[in-house]
Amino acid sequence: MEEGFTRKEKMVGLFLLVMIILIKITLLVIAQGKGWFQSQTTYYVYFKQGYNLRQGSLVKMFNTEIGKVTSIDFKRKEDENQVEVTIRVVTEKAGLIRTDSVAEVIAPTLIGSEYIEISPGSSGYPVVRAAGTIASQAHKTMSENLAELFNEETIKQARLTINNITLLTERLKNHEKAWLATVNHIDEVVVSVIKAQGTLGELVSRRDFYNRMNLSMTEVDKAILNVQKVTGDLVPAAQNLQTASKTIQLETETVKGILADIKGGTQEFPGLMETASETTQEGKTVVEAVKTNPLIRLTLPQEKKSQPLHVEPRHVP
Amino acid sequence: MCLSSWAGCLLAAVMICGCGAKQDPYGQQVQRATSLSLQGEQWFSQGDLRRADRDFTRALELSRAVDYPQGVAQQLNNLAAIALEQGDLEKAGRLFVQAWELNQDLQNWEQASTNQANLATVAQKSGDLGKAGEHLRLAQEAAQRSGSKTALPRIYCRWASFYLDQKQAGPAGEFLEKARAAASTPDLKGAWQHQWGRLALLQGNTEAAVSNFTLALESDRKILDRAAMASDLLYLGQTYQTRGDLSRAFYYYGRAFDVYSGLGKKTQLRLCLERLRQVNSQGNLRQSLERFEKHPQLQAPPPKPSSS
Repeated sequence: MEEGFTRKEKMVGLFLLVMIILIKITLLVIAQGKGWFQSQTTYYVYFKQGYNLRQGSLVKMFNTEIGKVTSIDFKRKEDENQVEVTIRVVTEKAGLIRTDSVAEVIAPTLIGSEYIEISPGSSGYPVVRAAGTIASQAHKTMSENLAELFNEETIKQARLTINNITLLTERLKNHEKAWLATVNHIDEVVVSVIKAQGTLGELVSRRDFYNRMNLSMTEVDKAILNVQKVTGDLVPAAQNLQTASKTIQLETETVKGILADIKGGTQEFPGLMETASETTQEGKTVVEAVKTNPLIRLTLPQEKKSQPLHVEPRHVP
Repeated sequence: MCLSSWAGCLLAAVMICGCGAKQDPYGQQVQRATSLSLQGEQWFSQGDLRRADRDFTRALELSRAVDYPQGVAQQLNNLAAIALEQGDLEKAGRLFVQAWELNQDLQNWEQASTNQANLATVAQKSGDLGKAGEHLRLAQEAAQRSGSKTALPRIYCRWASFYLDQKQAGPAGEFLEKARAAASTPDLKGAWQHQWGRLALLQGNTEAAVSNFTLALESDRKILDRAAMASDLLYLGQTYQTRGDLSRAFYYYGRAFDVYSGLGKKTQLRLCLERLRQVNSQGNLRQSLERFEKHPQLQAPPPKPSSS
């Protein structure tokens, strides 16, 4: 009896073979898209701290991704503990990294994560060799900014101000005696007024002065009554005004709420804009990637070539 | 093979070809400058000089920032073209010379030829025909050095225009004959047909003039060169006026007026209005000129006389 594979076994084998081929093609396409086959060059950057960088953080130039952080380690360099960040940059772009290039950690405003931005080098400077070190610039933290604010100069000024205040206080103390003497004198004057001594004392103690004042007050009362009559009509108007004022108050509260919402929205706006910009950039990258496909490129309309303007005499007034 | 197999094959081909865009930050910036320039060219052709100036200035700044000298030279030329349109001949001349010098350094003779041709226009507008001829000679030399198929016929057409402005049919015809075979692109075709029409009109052959101006109009319409289209229409009006067909002349002058109005060119608007009045009275057409005479662009107050 002849031994061999059954039809089912052959089908399964073929299916497996096709699947393996498909997986390989998919992997190749992904690898090409991700740039796994692209040659990369390793560089080192040293920072005083890690700035939340992590393995896989982006490395950018002209705000465009050119590589990634591969590892972060601590090293003792120049008698100082430093964070050694190993980055891998696409070799094609390595020519732009020169000895005057500076690496800096950029922290996101609201959304996003930290990345390293490398400034492109000038043509007059030599290219940084592979496994070389790229000069770095410290990213200032809030505490460092505060430390800058409260520097020696500021502290000196504060000390001077406090000294001046102390001096002023001492001078005030010296004038305390003169002040007490003045108060005593005022006290004597008040006592003489109460005892009806002197011009002011007589004026205060005279009865007819009070009678005349009473008469005047009665006149004032009459005048006030008249005023009350006149103002009686103003009461409903004032009530209406109160209602209107309440309405305005309510509307003001509403406007305040709207303004608060707008303020909140404004604070979120830069973050949203950044996210939108990043998304647009990513979308553009995807479109550009698709456009590079020869089959798709064939179907695209021919792009207009930009040329310098030729101005004929018939074109100009 | 069934349809699904074909579809499968196509999909596999697309996948194999890959979608991996290479990272090219410099190329991206150059592409951005080019896009801005194209946008500016679009505004320029539509007569929106303010927006054209904005886009060309941005493209110039970007080209300078990423050290793209070809772009810098092109944008200097384009900004000069705007200055020329605005009548600032001094600024236009200065910028064209800067662009020419840069293109010379870059050995970019095709663009250098355009710069010299534009300088010839500046000289012509200043009334210095000798200088214009000198610039056209330099433009021709640059075009020859460039080896470009389109640069030389373009300069030949410019020579023809130069001689036609001086009513010299002989040399104009010679240059147009030289350019005849090479005028292959729509813009060159349009320029050649327009100049050929002018030559025919100068020689009194109005039939050939009408035919060539009509062909020029079709070519210029393909690339939406509105200034050239308006010029074709104006000459069509002039040709019909010469033939004595005044109602057709009125029709074409009216169309030229409308296109110039879209471009905001007041000098040409006044010229069209004058011609419209002329043919209306000559042919006793009794057409209403109200919409032309009351056109908002012609209602603007005249510039204030200087105090000196």
